[in-house]
Formats: sequence, C-alpha cells, structure tokens
Amino acid sequence: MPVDDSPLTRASLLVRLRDGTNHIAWQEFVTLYSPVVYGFARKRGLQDADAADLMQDVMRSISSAIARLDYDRNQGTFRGWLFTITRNKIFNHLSARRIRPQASGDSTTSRLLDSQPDPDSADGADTWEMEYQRRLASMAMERIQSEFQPKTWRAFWLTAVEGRSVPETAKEVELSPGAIYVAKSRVLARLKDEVEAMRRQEDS
Amino acid sequence: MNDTSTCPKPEELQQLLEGSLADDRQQECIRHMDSCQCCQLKVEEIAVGGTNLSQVVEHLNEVQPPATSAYWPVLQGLGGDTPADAVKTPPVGTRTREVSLAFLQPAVDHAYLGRLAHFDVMRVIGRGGMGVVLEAFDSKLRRNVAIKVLDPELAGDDVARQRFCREARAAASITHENVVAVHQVEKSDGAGLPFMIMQLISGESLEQRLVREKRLPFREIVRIGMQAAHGLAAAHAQGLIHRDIKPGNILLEPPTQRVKLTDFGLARVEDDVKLTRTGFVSGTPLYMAPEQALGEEADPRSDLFSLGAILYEMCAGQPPFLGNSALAILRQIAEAKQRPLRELNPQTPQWLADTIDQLLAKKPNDRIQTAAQLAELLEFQWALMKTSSEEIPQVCEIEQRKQRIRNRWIAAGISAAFLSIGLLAGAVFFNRGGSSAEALVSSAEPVAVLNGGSGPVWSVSFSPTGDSLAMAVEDGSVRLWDVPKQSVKATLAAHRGTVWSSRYSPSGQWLATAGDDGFVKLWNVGQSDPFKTFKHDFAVRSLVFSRDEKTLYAGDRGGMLRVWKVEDGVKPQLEQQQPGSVYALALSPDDETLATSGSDKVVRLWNAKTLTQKLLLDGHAGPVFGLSFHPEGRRLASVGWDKTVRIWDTAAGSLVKSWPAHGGDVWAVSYSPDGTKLVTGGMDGAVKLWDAQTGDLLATYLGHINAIHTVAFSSGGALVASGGRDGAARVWKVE
Repeated sequence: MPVDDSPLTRASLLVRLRDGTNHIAWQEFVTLYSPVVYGFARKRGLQDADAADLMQDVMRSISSAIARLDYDRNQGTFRGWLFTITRNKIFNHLSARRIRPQASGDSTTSRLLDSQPDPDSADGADTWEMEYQRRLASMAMERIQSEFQPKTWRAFWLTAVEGRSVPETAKEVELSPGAIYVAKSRVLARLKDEVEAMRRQEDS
Repeated sequence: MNDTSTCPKPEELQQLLEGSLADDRQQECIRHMDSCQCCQLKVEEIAVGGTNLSQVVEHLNEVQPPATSAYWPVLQGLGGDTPADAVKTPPVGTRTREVSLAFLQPAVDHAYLGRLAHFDVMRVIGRGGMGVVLEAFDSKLRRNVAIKVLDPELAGDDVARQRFCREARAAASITHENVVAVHQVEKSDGAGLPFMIMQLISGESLEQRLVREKRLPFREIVRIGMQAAHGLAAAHAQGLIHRDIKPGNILLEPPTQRVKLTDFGLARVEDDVKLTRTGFVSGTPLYMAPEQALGEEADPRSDLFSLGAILYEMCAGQPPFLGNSALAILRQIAEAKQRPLRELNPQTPQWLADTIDQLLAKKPNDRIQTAAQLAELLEFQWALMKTSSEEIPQVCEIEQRKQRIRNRWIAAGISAAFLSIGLLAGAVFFNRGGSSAEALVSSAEPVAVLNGGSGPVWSVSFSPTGDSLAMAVEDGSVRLWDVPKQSVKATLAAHRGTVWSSRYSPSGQWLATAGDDGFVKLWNVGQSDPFKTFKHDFAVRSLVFSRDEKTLYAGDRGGMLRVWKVEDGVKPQLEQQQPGSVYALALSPDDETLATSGSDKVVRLWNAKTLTQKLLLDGHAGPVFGLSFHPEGRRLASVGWDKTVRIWDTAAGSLVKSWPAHGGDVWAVSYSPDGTKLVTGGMDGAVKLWDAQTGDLLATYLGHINAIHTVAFSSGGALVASGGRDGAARVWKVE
C-alpha cells in the first residue's frame, strides 16, 4: 500500500532538483542524503568535523552539478553517482592530508588512506548501500509511526531496533510474547512497503 | 476448530499481519506464537519478504549523531531538516550587496576608516562573494598590506569560518614570485572574525587589462601564461588546487607586469556561502573546467583547463565558451568544442593554438598533465620569441629552408637563448664538422596527423604495405588508420585498460595486441574479434612476432617472458622470469636471438628457441624503454631513462657507441629497414633521425606537444610514425 500523497511521489526528486528554484526538493534531497554521506564518511574512519565538512563539500558538488546539467541516467543510478563523488572526496580528503604535512600531525592518516579502497573500485559499495537503506528505513519509520497503536510501535521499537529481548519487552509494554512478535512483524511488513515505495520514487 | 498447538498456515500468518483474520482466530494464533519459535520466526520472515529489513533497522536508534556533532550546523546550513533540540546557529540573512564595516574598531587617525587588530584600514579595495578586501597599514611591520575579511554574516557559520582559515593557511604555505604571498591568518579581537593578511599588489588584474585591450600581443600572452603556469606549479607541488583561475585572480604587478595569482582555495569558501544562501552555487563559470561543471572533483588539471581558457581569451578577444546564462555556458563547457582559435585570430601561432586546444581537452587525461610541463613549454617558446625583434607569428616557419640564409642570425640567437635556459639538447644541433652553428630542426610538417583524441598513444606499427597504421591507445582501443586518407578504418575494442602494444605480423595478415589486462590477443586484420587470446598475470608491455609468424614473444610488467605459438592453444611454449618489469622486446632478423629490456637497467640477449640467456649488456644508468635490431642482426640499439642511445655488438656483447639523444627520457628507437638510420622519440616531444653509423643528427621533427612513447619506420623506410601522450600519431617523410 504505497502512500500516494507522499511528497516523493509527485515527481522524481532528481527532476525537481534540476529546477534550481525548487527549494523543497533541495531540502528533501539534503534531508535524505546528508546522513548517508555523513554516516558513510564516519564508517570510513573520518572524524566528526571532517565528516561534516565532507558532507557539505559533497552537497555543494551535487548542487552545482544537478542544477545545471542533465544528469545522464545511462551512466548509472543517481545514488551510484553520489556514491562515486563521496568516495572520491573521502579519498582526496585523506590524500590531501597526507600531502600537506602541516595539516596532519596524526599518523593515522596514512593508515586510513592505505585502508581506503582505490576510488575507482567498487569497494565500500556495500557500506554505502547499507547506509542508504538505514536512512530510508529511518525516514519511513517517521512516516508510518502514527499509523500504529503506541503499544504496538513500542513493541516493535524495543525488539527490532533496540534489540531488547521479548520477555523483557513483554513486561514493559504489557503484551504477551505472541502479541509482541505479531506487533513487530506488522510494523516490519508496513515498513517494508513504505521503504519500497520510497525507493521506487527515488529510482524512478 | 483449530488447535493452538498446530501451526497456522502461511496464508493465515499473512492475514494475521494484515489484520484480516477473524478476531477469535487471531487470538488463537497470537497465543500459539507465545511459545512456537517456528512461527515467531516465520511471521517475521513473511513480514520482511526476503529483504534484509530486520538487519537494517537494528540499532537505528543510534544512527543520529550526538547533539554536539558538527553534523547539525552543517545540515542546517544546507537547508535540511534539523530536530528542534539540535544546536542552532543564527539564521543566515538575505544577501546584501554592501558589506558593513561595523567589525572595524574606531580609527586612531581620521585618515583611516578604522582599525582591525594592529592594522589601520585605509580603504576598501573590493567586495567579493565571501567578504571584503581592504587596504591597510600594518602598524607593527610598518608596511601596507591587503586584508581579506570573511563576511561577518558568515563568521557565525563554523564551517565557513573553519574553511576560510584552513584555505588561508594552506595558501600561506606557497612561496613563489608568481603567487600573492599570504602573510598570516588572524582573528579579530571582538567578534573573532577571521581575516588574512596578504601582500598588497598595486597593479591591475588581467580582467581589467582585458576590458581595456581585448586582445594582447602574443609575446605578452605567452609570458602571462608562462608565469601563471609557474605559480600554479608551485601551488600544485604543495598539493593545493586553485579551483577558480580567472582573469580577476591574475594580478599584474608593475613595473614588469609580473603575474601574481591570488585567492587560492577561496573558491570553495565562496561556494559554501552561495550554497548556504541560495541552495545553489551560481556565478559566471566562464573558465570552469568540465569536471568542475559536472560537479566532480577538481584536480590540478582543472586549473590548467582554466588557464587554457584564459589564454584563448587573450588570443581571441573572447572566452572559448559563451552563453546567455550560467547554465548555457556550463553546457558549452561540458559538451561543445570551442571555435578554432585561428578562425577568430588567424595570427595566432599554430603551436599556441594547439597548446590551448590541448589545455581545453574535455578529459583531464588528454590535457597537458602538469603546470610545470606547460611552464616549460611556454618558456621555450617565449625564449624563441624574445630573440626576434619583430613579432614572428609562426615560430616554426623560421626554420624553413628558403628563409634559412636570411634567418641564420636568428638561429644563432635562438641557440644562445636555448643555452641560457638549458634546453640546448632539446632542439638544436651544432654541426660537428664546421664552426658555424646551424639549426637542424626539420622544416617538415608531418605528412599525416592521425589524431585519436582518446588518450595517449603507446604503440604504432605500419602494415607491410605502409598504407595502414595500427595505433595502440590508452583507452583500451586499437585504431587502424588509412594513412593516405588520414581516416580510421577500424577501431578494435581490444583491452581493458591501456593497450601497450599493437603489431602487424610480417605478412600483414594478423595483428597482435597486448594490454594492461594481461592479455595478448591475435586478430585477423579486418575482423572485429580476436581469434586467439593468451593470458599473462601482469600487464603485457611488449610484443614481437617471429619472421615466420609462427611465434609470438611477450613480456609483462611482472618480468615474465612468454613464448606463444600461434597455432597452439592456451599454454605458453616456454617462459622465463627476469627481474623487474619488461618494457621492450626485439627479435634478431634470423629469429635466433631475442633481446629484452626493462626496469633492471640491463639488456638481455636470449636464445630465442630455448630462452636461455646468452649475454647481458650492462651500461644504461636507468630503465631501458626501447630496443631495435639492425636489419643484419649484428647491432642492437637501446634507449632509456638515461637519455642516451646505445649501440651494442650483439656477438661480442660490447658497447659500440653511445650518445645523448634527448633532453629527457628516450622512450623509443627504431632502425631504418636499410640499417643506415635510427629514429628516436623522447619525453621532450622531439622525434630525431640519426646516422646509425656516426651518431650524427640528421633531422629533428617537432610537432608533438608532449612526450613521445613510440616510433616506427615503414617497411620501405620512407616514412616514420611517432605517437605519444598528446593522443596523436604523426607520420613524417624521411628525406
């Protein structure tokens, strides 16, 4: 049951982004992808400030590119393009730190850089995809939460997200273990539909 | 009635999830699931429908950065949603054209506008996207300086402030006469406003000069380009990219109008500012490189593109890419070829037009690769121009024979100029017999220019008839050219990665290619698929056919030599390991001796039938890049890193003769079919023809903009082909 009044269903985000005056599209884009870029950079070993800086850098690149030029769909997915830009920037960020001795007192830079995949390789694609999926799931959860009873949501949250045991959860939300499992699965089933709908919109 | 102890059917579980089961049945199922682990798992499995969603949502509560993270202000700056409890920075106001000077302390003297730290501010020099530039007097060091202050509106933005400081510090690390010196970076006492203190240049910018003059004299263009390239080279050596080279950032310092580049790295700060304000980077991107226009990473070669665009404008009187809007210009930059420069200004020297074209290549790989190379090239040309009293439009023309006598004094002057800049070995030859210096630069234009336009050329090979040329290109393709027509007959998608070698078999029926992917492929000429493929573990750098076409020798980057039988299948007939990488192979005319060379500085001679080593020729000071057997087999020529040609006696294993050949590494050598001449190609971009006996230079062919990787004679010896980094093969007529 896709939600058709979702802002994402009006037109592909990308199409609307190309219209440089569409601030809502830009905001949606930033809201969706910034955490993905930031999270990926952190997973690649960047510190908080560097990851935030890199995130801004990536968003600027994207902004200057899609506002002006037709992104060529044949070259792969938009998300793949974003991934390539992010990965290159991380690589360059660490390379630059290695070149500029004054900016790098830490010996970890070289090590980080050595552990970075070659920017041309597909390494890191799994991490990237996972970050994206987690972001989509996170946004989808915000959207669907209101569709459920607080108890049902809580049962799902404690077991599926926080990883608490079912007996413990059963006690806290005062539901039987069977009801906990059903609650968790109902939310998951709904979440799956929502994520898929969002993803379809993203990829369209 | 269903028993709670029997498991519900999958359809029922599906209905349970949807809430479409009858109430009582639903209660039963839930009760059943209190204890049935199987159904507990199964219902979740149905819910996630084969996806990894369960895994995805795990610990999603921990995904948000903490409230103190730098993430939140950046996200807010970008215009993203931020939770109410995240750290807030003051909202960014609307853009005002006037930058307030309220950050200044009151002036001690009425002659000044105000004071910033110990600087007395005299006037506002300019206002840019990211702040204001002031002229001020440094009361401590008692000198005038320029001060760039970050827009106070942005100083509240941590990221903008940090970036400003970081870029300014990086720029301060460049010390070069063609770069405006950044003395220091400071913060004001009160507001903590960052500002940078720079050398004050009193002259105008190239932008202002172009408004006045539109086109500049060629010598001036070359000088400005040369000095800008030197400044860029110094910055690039520090790992710094300018990112926004434009006429406004090229200052001309009186009295000599010396070039001073300014605003290194600040383009990024400006972009941040615009992004923060409008969500989009705007501005007029007239000089932006295609990769920047596409939002990709800028690299040092992006600066070279921008400099190319400026050189174009100085020659043509207009930038290479024009349009009514930023969008239109960016499309042009990304997609369109600029109008030929000589259409707009026919006086432009051909070499300059070629150089600018190369700088404006869409792909960074097709450009001149470093600012240092560009500087060297322009310096060379500038030296030539300096020697003539009048403006010589076509430098190469001065070597034309009909003008030779009239211009002899110029040639001598050129020699002096070369001496003074250490380029003597590059292009001028002093006649050994006589006392008079005579330039032996051939006037010859190439008889054909085969422009692949898709990356450096690593190998050229003539067909036996001489009318076809196989060209191995870095993009993985092999182009087969019709030489007389100067058109491509066929393009083979031969390898993944660089094609290092492509050779016609002696009869011309086959073509063998070798690539970075470790494959050796055999092709019937005229077919688009190989009929045989052999595999090495490393990139195969060199190939040679036996005269009887039954055997193919290949050497790879891992130092492995393999002998492949054309008739046989997948296994090499013989193999032999040598130290380092193999760069070149040559086979004696009797098919008995194989010569190999590579990174280990020696040339090895092997029994070609058994691959047992016969002799080791030791003498080169570095890697040996090229080999060629004399047609009678008694001599072998080798060239390499040490810039020399060496001629060896292959029977005795002794050195017969050697001489310095090029101003840089020598990449390629070939004997003429009659054995009387040698042709070499080098990093200096020159193709040289030598008397093989005496080592006398017979001719120098200039035309390539960049390093030459490969040279070859046609089977009749009337033509020489050369190919190299500039992506073109040139065919020269041998006199």
